[in-house]
Amino acid sequence: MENLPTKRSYEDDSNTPNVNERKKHNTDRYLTYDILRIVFKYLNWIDLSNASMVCRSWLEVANDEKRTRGGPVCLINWGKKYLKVIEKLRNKPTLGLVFKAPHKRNVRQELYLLCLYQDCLCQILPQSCEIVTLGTCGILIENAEMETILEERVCAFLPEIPNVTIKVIAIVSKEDFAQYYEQMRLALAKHGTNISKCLLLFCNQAGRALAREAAGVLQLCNATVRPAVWGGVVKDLYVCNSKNPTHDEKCVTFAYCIGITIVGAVDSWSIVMDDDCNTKELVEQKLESFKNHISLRKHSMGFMFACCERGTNMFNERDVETTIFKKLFPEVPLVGCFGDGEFGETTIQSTNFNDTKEYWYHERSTVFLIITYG
Amino acid sequence: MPNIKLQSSDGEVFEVDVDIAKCSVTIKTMLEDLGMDEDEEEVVPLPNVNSAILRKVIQWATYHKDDPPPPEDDENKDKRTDDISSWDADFLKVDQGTLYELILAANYLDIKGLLEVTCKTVANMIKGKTPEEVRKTFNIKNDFSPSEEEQVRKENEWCEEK
Repeated sequence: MENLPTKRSYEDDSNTPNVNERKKHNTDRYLTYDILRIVFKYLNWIDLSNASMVCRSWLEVANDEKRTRGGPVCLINWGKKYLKVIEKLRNKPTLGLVFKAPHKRNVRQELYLLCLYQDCLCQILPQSCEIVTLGTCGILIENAEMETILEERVCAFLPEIPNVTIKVIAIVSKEDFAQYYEQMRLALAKHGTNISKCLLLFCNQAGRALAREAAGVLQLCNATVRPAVWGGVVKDLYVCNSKNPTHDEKCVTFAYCIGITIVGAVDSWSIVMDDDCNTKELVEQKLESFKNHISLRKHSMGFMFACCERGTNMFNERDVETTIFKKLFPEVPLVGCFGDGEFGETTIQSTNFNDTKEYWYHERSTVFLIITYG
Repeated sequence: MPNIKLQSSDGEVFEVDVDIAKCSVTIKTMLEDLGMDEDEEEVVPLPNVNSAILRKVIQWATYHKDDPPPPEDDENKDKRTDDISSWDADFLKVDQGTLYELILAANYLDIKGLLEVTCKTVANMIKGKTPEEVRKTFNIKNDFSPSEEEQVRKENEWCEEK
């Protein structure tokens, strides 16, 4: 058995004379701390939390098990089966990103929204979890790119990470949008030697100008310590507002632009595969030098945002870029989507790339982001 | 194949193929450390395992003798419990007491595969149950004081409504 703390026993059965009696009433004799640690590894967060409410000794084991869990959770899930999502959660999520595959064109917008309301993950996730939903041009998970109409959605959850602040700033109206830029700027403005910054930026078609403006402002303000930047333009963009009591009937709120800032004790790197990086060899070459600049920590998560003109349209083959990523980073779970316009910054310095002075907004590109912590 | 003799806590002696016995890391190290020669007619005493359980353990080890070694633990990997083979599931259709004894034996003999599958079975007995149902299943007394219980409930508020 690996790394388990020293054996502990909860038995105190010296006063029970009858062995059978003792067996019947003292499960602790068998389900010791060490054994329960193994058993609890197989429980998801909900079952583990229920187990912690059983008795004092189980609470101790459950709390020790909970402390070992901090990894992100990625999954692909069908239609309305959210229970499947809950079953997969091994810790308490604090940010949920939902990538919805393209839906049929003939679905009316109201119906689509209704479906989103009924389907919103806020009904099963903790109140404190922020949920952002992207209606995409195609979804991807691990080395599978799905550029067609599907019922599926890819979900990625980040748990609470010590000393990391995650903020979701959604521009839901075009009035007074400058205040949102300011909120994003402030969220990124933390200084400190070990402070890493990361910005996820999304918008819909109508919010493209807003998001580009936000990117411009933030790029100017962050010229010295450059954050990792990842995101792009999607078809639909929603944020769940269930925490806001004025929105309690409609938890899903449409947004033009959403900025997610991740600041603190995480390392993050992003890289842009631009228009010229259009063959397997070039992508692999670039991702390899990306890899050489990265040191992974205990938990990692990879994100990919690709232009819908890439994928099979560019490579005449499926799953090219995801496969290269997974070949180089087999341990890093990968999620993401296809869109129409990308946000990204190449944060590693290499003489091979001359695109460090480029704007954050790109076209016909693929942007990768790696977040690592723990 | 050479055999070795294993003696249970109640004195019964089992003759087992050495390779099968060596799926127990405890027995394997014992043989290596003590320099026990495989030809010798020595008996390995297992004072922590009774004959009924040892018989089951040998049955399990014989069936699984050609299994590849179980993979290393990875915290980030999805830990499934619905992948118990039908042979194992049938093998573990035993009363709770026997299941516990098997866990203890697997732990003492250090047989990773058996420990894993028995612990998965216990995990399946916890899954989807309320704390009260779990207490009933395992005969556990709720030893929380009312204020402690309130505190734990609060911490796990999100899980309770599910």
